[in-house]
Amino acid sequence: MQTVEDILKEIRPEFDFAASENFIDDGMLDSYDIVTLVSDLDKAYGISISGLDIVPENFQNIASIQKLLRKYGKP
Amino acid sequence: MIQPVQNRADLLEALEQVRRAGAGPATNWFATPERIERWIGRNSLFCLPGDRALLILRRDRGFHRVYHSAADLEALSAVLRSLSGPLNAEDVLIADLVGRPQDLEPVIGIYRENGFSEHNCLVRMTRTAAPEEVAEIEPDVEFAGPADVESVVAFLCHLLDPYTDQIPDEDEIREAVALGKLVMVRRDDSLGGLLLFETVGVTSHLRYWYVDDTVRNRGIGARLIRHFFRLTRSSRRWILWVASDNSDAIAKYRHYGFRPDALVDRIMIGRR
Repeated sequence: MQTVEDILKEIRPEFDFAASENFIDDGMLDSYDIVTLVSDLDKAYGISISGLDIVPENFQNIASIQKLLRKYGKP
Repeated sequence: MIQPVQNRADLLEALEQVRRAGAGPATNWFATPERIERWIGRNSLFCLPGDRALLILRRDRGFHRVYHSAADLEALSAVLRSLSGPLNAEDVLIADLVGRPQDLEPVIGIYRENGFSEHNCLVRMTRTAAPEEVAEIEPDVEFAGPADVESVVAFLCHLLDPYTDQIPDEDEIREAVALGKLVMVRRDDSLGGLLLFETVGVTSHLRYWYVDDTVRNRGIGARLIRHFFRLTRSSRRWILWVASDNSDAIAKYRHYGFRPDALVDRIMIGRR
């Protein structure tokens, strides 16, 4: 199974996401990239992330994305 | 019923209600808080609530931009259908549908079913190469000042398609001037060319880069973009949007290291 880091790397291969605590403020992801990321996470983990969860704070860094995935029962 | 948006909190609450209904990423509403406040301040923002969906309308230069947030495609279709009544017969509606081509097709289908057709298609291009050596000083490139705002707006209005290009208004130009994000070259007391950009963190967005027709092929465009790369040399990513059928512009951007990435903006037009 792809990890969150793998998926982020596919979307924006030029960045070291592990080094950032806030992808949005750091300019590594914009709103359009988040739409792409949600779609990729849905496909990779077989989930459907609710609109209620599509807010910037759930996509700030790797830890916050992993926390969101745990909410959907994914490690 | 279409209602004016009076404050950002009300708008966010309306969007939240849609999200509570289960909305996935079925939206094209990506406005920043600053832009929302500006539009509300000008009384140019309206909304049309539907069942599990919300349309946001923004009055632009003689037409309306349409943004949606919907729980699913059925809800989107229903709220778009309900839009046909309240507007004037001559109203033009423009919707920017942004995403990966394969993800957009179902949404485009809904817009087509509701009387929209394709006006244009933009592709996003990205440059990620390490900054190359650039001249320290481009002698005739200068930062635009407050006195240039009016001529910059006139220059852009003359060159751009308002449906496609999201022409910045005077306040946005003033802000870019204040932040040092607008550079220009003068020719014979008039504007020869300009470049306007935004930077967020490590990403710089090249929004406009134009040279006046009367002074083309004199290296103005090259000096502007070299200056831009110098000003943004700490960035790691540079992005821009370009019409997918503008092969000359795409070739030029490729020359400067930009490559198409996965995103497109399908611009739909509807008339009521």
